[in-house]
Amino acid sequence: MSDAHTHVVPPRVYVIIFLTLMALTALTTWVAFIDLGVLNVIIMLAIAGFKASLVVLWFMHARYESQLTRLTILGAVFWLLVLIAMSASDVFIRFRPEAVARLGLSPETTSFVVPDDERAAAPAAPH
Amino acid sequence: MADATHAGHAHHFDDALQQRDASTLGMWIFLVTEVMFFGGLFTAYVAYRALYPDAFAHASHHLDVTLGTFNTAVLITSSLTMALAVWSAETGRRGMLLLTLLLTAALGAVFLVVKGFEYAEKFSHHLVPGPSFHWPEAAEAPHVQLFYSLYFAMTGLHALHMVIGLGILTWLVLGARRGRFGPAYATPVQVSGLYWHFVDIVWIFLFPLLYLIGRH
Repeated sequence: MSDAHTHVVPPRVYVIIFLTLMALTALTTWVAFIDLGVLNVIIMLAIAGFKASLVVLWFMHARYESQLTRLTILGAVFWLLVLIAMSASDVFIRFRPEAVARLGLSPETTSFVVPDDERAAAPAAPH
Repeated sequence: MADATHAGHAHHFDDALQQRDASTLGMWIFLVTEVMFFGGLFTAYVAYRALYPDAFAHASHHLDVTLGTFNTAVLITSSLTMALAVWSAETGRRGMLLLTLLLTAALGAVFLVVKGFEYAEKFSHHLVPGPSFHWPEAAEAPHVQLFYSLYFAMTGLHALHMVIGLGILTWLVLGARRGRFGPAYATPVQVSGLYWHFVDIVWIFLFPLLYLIGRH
């Protein structure tokens, strides 16, 4: 009994994905040495995200899987982003008064912010 | 039982396709838990890097970009050989399957050896968090230790996954030698491939976040 329904991806496709991943690795390393300010981290994460998508879609065959499997994968990505975004939104504001100032919030609404002088001691760091 | 799995499907599945889909979904569910497992560490990284951007950039400078880039290339190549192993199993090329599985394992071993040299270098430069940790600027030292704690936790957990991956590959090689896998039964190779590629993806994010910050 042959597993005829399995989608067999030809080696040519794998090689193209491989070459793209190698080129993107070279690109991300090259860009890291150029000062682009905030853009550096954005480009870096965009390239890493794109590389990961290539691996998931082609090497891991996600594009040929059932709706259920694809929904499972999207669920993982969604909850990971929730975890990181919600945590970051707290950290970025609570311990960074300068960020709060930039948002133009009044002192009454920002009593949760840890002032600069307490900040160094606040988030647990070894000794 | 063994015959049933090899030739067709186990009795609780309708057909071989349903059995294969169930295995694939099961592996993806496991990988989802792995995403959240590594996700906690990535979240800790985001939080502490937001708090101490300069210390993180300075600490990152002591990682070897050349070795990091080399290892990234090694892992991506091992993903290619793993994908070719899946293709070999699906199309019944037994010699090619054995060759690609062995190549994948060899590349995985190369990655771990390079990582081992990098770790040894960190020990000799007193960059391992703990009593012997040393950093010239005292004010920055605790935050640099945070970076290195995350570095060792994240790359260590990743390396552990590589070691487990090498164990899985050994098991696949033994099975491939006995001719267990072919067009009718490629599921173990396909599912192990998912795991191997996932470990590659983790490194795709670890490499820029640890090695490439503050290089300019």
